[in-house]
Amino acid sequence: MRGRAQGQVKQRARSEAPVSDSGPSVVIGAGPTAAAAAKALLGAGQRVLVVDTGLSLEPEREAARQRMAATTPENWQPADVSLTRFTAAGASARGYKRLFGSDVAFRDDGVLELSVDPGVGARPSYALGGLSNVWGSGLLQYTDRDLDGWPIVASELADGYRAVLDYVPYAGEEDEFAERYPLVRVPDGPLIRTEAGQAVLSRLRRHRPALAAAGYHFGASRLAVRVGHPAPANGCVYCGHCLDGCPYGHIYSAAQTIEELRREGLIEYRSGLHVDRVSEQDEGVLVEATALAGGPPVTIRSPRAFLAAGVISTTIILQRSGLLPERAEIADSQALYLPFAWIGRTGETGREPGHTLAQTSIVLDDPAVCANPIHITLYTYNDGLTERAREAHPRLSGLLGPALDTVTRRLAVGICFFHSDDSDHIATSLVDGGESVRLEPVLNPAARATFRRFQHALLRSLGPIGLLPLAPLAEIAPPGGGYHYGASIPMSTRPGFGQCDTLGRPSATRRIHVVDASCFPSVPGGAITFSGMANSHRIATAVAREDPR
Amino acid sequence: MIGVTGANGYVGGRILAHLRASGIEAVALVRRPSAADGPARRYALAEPLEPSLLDGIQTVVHAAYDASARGPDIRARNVTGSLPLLEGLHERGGRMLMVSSLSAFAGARSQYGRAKLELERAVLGRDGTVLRPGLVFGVGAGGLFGAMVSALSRRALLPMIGGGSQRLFVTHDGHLSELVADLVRGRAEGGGPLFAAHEAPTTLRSIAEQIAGAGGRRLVVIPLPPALVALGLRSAEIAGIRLPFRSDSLRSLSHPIGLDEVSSLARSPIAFPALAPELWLS
Repeated sequence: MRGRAQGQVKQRARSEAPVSDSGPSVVIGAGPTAAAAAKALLGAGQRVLVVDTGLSLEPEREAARQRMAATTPENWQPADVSLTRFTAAGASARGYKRLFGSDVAFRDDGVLELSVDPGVGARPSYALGGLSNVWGSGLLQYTDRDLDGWPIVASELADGYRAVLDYVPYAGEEDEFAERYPLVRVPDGPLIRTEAGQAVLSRLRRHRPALAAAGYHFGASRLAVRVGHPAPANGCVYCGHCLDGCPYGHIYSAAQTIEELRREGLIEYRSGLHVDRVSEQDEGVLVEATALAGGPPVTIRSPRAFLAAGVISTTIILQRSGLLPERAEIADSQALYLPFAWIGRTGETGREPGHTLAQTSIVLDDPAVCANPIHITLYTYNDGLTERAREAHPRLSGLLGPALDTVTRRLAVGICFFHSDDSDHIATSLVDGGESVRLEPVLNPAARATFRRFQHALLRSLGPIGLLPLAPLAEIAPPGGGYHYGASIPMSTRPGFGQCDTLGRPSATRRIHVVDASCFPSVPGGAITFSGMANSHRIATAVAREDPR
Repeated sequence: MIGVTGANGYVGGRILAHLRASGIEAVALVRRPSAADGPARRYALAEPLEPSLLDGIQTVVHAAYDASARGPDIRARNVTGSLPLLEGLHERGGRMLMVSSLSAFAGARSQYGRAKLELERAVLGRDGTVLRPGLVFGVGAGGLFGAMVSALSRRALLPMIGGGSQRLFVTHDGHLSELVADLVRGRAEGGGPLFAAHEAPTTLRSIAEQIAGAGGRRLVVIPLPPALVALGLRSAEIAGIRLPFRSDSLRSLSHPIGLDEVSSLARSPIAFPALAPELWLS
């Protein structure tokens, strides 16, 4: 497969590009920013062709998911549950988030030879829906503080956030967090937290004045999860399966939007295509792609192209198109996985009603600790945590036996995201003239000291209220390991080579728009997908307004 | 010799002082010259030009703007009222360096922005140079920034239109003055309009947060609905009540220059810094 694909790249360089399509705007990719661009273009009355690699779940897992979705959790077949849990056998992407036990979100498409240094945690996603298949579903927007140095301000994303929440569910509640992060619209309703999740939030609230003085902001998680009655038909049934994928589809994935638009005939969708490069020709854009099924290279002409293939893929397409240098850099918002010992109320062993996504969001904004705000998404005890602990530490688990569950019930895990200025980065380099690509870490010498200061700050502030950070067990994800990265072709009011304008156009182009997080000037800590979608909406809407067709 | 109009105002005053400190001979062109101004001549917008006003002057830095004008007077005083100076200078082979504003752009909704734009075109048509600064700040600043510093020195509570979320650009007065000095010395290329601000925009709220933070306070914003404020300001203006903030300023703030136009503006060799406490705290 790989050899064939390489051969095709060479062949394409010699071929006369046949025209296979024209008319609609091309959206490259089918992840969240692609869905947002497609929705915005359709809203402006434009025609849209979505071009995607489009890998999907293995048939046996999809069948199991469908059987589970057709009934209530107590009627699920043990074999289906076992097949779709993260511990399921047969998934090869150990260490990467899985969807219904599958590695589909990170599976190689066999076209591009990608060599990833062990010190890099990022992988491209070729799945329909991209990384939104496995996202944490957080819906906090960026503030002006986050956008320091960007050529746009937060209010310019406001319409985008609102538009996205027309088709993305919004679970949350009005609480103290609204002071810093005003609700974008009235939430669909609150999700039931785990007992420990509720207890942690109550404890934080009791100590709010002291925490606020130390630079902490917190509130209930706002999540792209459907809440409604009756469950499971209309909303979360609290089955505890969140981290493996929601069998009922109540956690939003961009695949849902793309599928819906395709089903309703609103977009044309062409999957099985790995886009290699884009170029401007005459009054349009030429998209060159490799068909996964083999055959000659595919070329598509379009008046405009919106690049939303996901940061790694988009960056590589731009490099292979000569719109980025052969060695480019992707900025990462690095993740620190920090376990906490929770000294407080917690749920009973076994299933308890409560979702198992992040329960609480905490933001530490204290310039003495870090120049930029740090976001913590806090996961409390759930069944999956015990399973994961067993998987990660088999010896310790064997030693503890049944007591393991007692220990994990007292654990919470914070996934802490740092601003890209305070994180390691990723270099992407074309090798052999673009035949293959190498990803390598670019270390930030200041990052470790920031991570340490942050953990000390948590110990001082959260330790005394019973949420004790277990610093020795903390694990720094390699760059890209938290899946919050971008900024390979940053937006600028004066774009030079390697940058794009505020409509995502790489310098010297007029009809190619980068709409995923590749065009972010930096990657703030915190949820990236929601802002990526809002920015994609902003660009697509502005372009459609300027160029009505 | 360089003439500077508006030299009794914040921006004109800073430019004049910097020119003189840089060894450039500069004369204040002001309504009421006084000994404290140093070399000064009498000049007022919309008044006939004194024949001797421009004697020995090759360049006029035009920073005067009559903010007290209302309605049709805005154009009459600031655009038509500036033309005698522009024409007189042009006839003598001199040039005008106009301190305009990023509120001036095609499609601007404010009368202020439209007046500045019209005068910009006249200046550029006579080989002049146009600078477009954003919100000007610096030590002991006047204008909106000075008003914010003053308000936030008393309390960290600030009513802000729309929560202060509108996009704006900031310009450090020292760097603006330096750019003017470079231009009058011929060290920087004129023409324009030249974007004269920090490249990354900010918001009034962020500015207020920084000012409050520099004073060790946490800002509390009282968001004011823009439509309600516009109505209140218009009503006050119709009733003849003079307020420090005009409905026209609200239009400028609420409908800022497009980013495409910002991108298309020419750049000067001066890189303008972002707002930072050391640049406004004495």
